[in-house]
Amino acid sequence: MVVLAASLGFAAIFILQVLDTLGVVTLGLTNWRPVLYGYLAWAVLFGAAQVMMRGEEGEKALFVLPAVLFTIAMVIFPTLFGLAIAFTDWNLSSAEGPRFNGLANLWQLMSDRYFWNALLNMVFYVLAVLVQYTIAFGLALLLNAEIRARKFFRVAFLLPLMLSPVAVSWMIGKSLMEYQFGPAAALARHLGWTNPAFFASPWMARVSIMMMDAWVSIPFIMILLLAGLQALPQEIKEAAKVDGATGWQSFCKITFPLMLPVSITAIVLRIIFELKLADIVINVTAGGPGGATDTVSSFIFREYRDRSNVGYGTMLAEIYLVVIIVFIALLLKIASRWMQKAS
Amino acid sequence: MSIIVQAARPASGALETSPGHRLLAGHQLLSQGTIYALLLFWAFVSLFPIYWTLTTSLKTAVNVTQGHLIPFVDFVPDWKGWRSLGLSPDTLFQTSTVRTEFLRRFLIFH
Repeated sequence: MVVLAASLGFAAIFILQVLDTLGVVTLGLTNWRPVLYGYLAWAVLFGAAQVMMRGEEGEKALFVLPAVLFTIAMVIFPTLFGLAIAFTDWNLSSAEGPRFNGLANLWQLMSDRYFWNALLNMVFYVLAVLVQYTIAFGLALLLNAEIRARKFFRVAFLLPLMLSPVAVSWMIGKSLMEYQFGPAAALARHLGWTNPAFFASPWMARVSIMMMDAWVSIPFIMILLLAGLQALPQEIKEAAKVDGATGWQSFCKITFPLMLPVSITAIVLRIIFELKLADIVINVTAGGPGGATDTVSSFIFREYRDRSNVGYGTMLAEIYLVVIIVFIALLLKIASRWMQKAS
Repeated sequence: MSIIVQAARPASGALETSPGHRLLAGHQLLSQGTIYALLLFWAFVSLFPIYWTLTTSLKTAVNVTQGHLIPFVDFVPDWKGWRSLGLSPDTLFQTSTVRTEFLRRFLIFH
């Protein structure tokens, strides 16, 4: 009986799928929604069957199943389907739909100067995370010190994190750092920089973008480090003080090593976020001047939006996914090995 | 050894109640003055863009191009920008399609 219900679900989705693929010829179904409904119905029946067939074990499985099925439908399937799109020549502006063109997109990517340029920029952006971390550590130490108005400073330091990066890119990039009227440009003129063009030369533009990104994301690192600092046992530092350690020694030998796990978590999280940096770049410079501030994400965005190049854009996204997975895996490996050596 | 530990304990216990204890027990890298200077500097860095955005919403074009910063001292606040959204005090209770549309998008009331 129960097995019947489950297989009925299976059968339902199979029939629907077959109907749909045939439907292009016979039934004339316009979209793939029946498959989605079939998948949902099958998922519900599959879950019910688990409970009925396997009892308590099945109930346990029911806690995991929705998440697993959702991930399959929303993450794994689109990634694989994207792989299929990545091997086609599909431009939305051309009359014909996707055409399979083999590895042509991959060869195009290999010789795409702007993609490699964007990837190189990502190296700089990721290195900037270390600077953000240093500043954030300093701020966390300041907030952890015995100070007055601690709540005020904590809220003030956290405010940038609560703003949308898109709003930040207009507030700061487009108005504060505006060449003619922006207060930042006025300040720079006052300090003796006669031509304060923040987004004209490649390195200046890159640094400006990094500063805006740092403004938004330093609070994130800071709050993680502050939580770590407040969880540190006070007795060890007091013992070091009794033993006559100076402030700097106590920081280098006690606070910093004890903070390593939190630090590495914060840095790895920030690097993962940094690799997806796009909103500020798109809104402020659109990758310019000459691709100097381009991130891979903003490059992919422009490939889709400006050139409607779905096939090539998807290939870029899939390759970038592979690059990120390899990079993060290596990073975590190095971090854990380094941690073992340190402890 | 045990004498030192016993001697140290009441001392640290006494420090616990006095302000500035954590800093003393901690790093002693910076003087109080430097700490507050750094804190105020970063508070300025964090808050100035927000302050500037808020005051600029009350400026007319001239005030923006001339780089005026402080309301009532540098420039006279003007509701012009807010009025165009139907959100200034004099237009708040009038019907405004712009405001309805703006709030609908802003608050995602679809």
